[in-house]
Amino acid sequence: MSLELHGLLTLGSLRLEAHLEVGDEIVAVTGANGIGKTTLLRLIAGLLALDSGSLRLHGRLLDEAASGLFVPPHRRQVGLMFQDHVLFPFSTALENVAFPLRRQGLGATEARRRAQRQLDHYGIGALADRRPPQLSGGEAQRVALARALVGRPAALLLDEPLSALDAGARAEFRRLLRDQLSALPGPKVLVSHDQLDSAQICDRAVTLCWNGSAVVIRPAPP
Amino acid sequence: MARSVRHSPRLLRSLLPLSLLAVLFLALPLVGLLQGVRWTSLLSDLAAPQAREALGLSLLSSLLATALALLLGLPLAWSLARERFPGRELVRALVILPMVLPPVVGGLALLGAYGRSGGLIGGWLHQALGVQLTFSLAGVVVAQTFVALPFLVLAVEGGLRGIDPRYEQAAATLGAAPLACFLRVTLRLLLPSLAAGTALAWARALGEFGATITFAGNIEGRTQTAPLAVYLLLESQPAAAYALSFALVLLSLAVIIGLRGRWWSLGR
Repeated sequence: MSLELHGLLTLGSLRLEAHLEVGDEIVAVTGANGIGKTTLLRLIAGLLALDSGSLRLHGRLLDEAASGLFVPPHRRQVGLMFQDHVLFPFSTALENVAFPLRRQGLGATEARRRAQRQLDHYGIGALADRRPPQLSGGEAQRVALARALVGRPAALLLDEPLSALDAGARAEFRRLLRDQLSALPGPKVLVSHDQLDSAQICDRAVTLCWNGSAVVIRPAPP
Repeated sequence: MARSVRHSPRLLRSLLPLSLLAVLFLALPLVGLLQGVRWTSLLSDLAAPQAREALGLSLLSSLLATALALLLGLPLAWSLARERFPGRELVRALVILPMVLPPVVGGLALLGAYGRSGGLIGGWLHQALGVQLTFSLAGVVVAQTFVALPFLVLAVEGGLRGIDPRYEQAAATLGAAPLACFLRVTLRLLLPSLAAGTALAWARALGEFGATITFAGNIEGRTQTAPLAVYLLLESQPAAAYALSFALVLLSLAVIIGLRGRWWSLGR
């Protein structure tokens, strides 16, 4: 398995017993509101640390409570797409997409060239010079996806990528997601409360549920 | 354009004419100041040695004080906003103190600490380092920094607290190391607060009177800043006092224009 998570996280009143293995596939994570779906993604991205157990990506240990090993998020190559895009408000769409390329050490000119190509590829090349407030919800979400994928992360996490969109934009973005995620090798984990979204985009689904003493991950009922 | 719907007691709506009173109260002194300015000799009044020196000294000392406030204030603002340490609330109270303290008392307190004779470390500063703060430009800068620092710290701390942590988290997942994240995201989001805090601190340093005259004294050409000169010239050369005041009003106006969009805007 590419992503192997076996561990426990306690955060406030949440007690998450996470056992999740994801191969080269798209897995949907469903579950009630507030149960801990976002927390699970933050754990894999490295914004939270395990209290016990371990997390591996492609065999590489990212987090191991027993040894104290913890790889910080910027060295994990794990992309995270937030629920409401979180594009940098002070940058244009192009600069947002160029950001991860620059962090990988690419020169400014080359990063911008590749960012423009990425935007073109997503059908939003004309929006390159717009700032986030000037983008519609669907456009901003496309830029956010372009930004998350442009650096070719080893794994990609998506938190409710469709929830902010209206019905029309949703169907279109669902197709784009399906195409782009299938083209990216590695494990992909998508949090969604919408059955249709997860069924159309994902290969399989798991669900977070309360087993009486902790929140656990179970295969979703078909 | 939609009609606006209001939900406030009828009695409170009649307060609009009354608020005119406050506007007049604020505007009238400004008009009074302007009519006191002798426009025909404005430039020559400003060019007179005492006024020119005072203005130059004010500009230099307030800029140095602003730089010092930035140097001291940024780490403090960061710690107050982002770190947890025992006594943090106490430190914040201490930061606010110079804001509410009468400036003269602040000057006296500075004398008690840095005065050459009788100050807590003033004697040592003089003997060991050869530094004398009282009656010197350095003293003016210290007095101005003392009163200006809170404005900078509070503005920057507020700005830091207002930053949505998800921007920094997004930057991290996109491969930004902590330093790059700070320089390219945090600092960038902080810029408006930083600019506002710097402008306010500068304005406060420029207008400083009480702490300066108490701690640094009132030596023409050395520690006599523009506010001190305005007060002293009022007796002997009122035209020069008004000319200097007008120059200070212009500088304040520049600060307000610089803060445009933060506390006020031209239309909506």
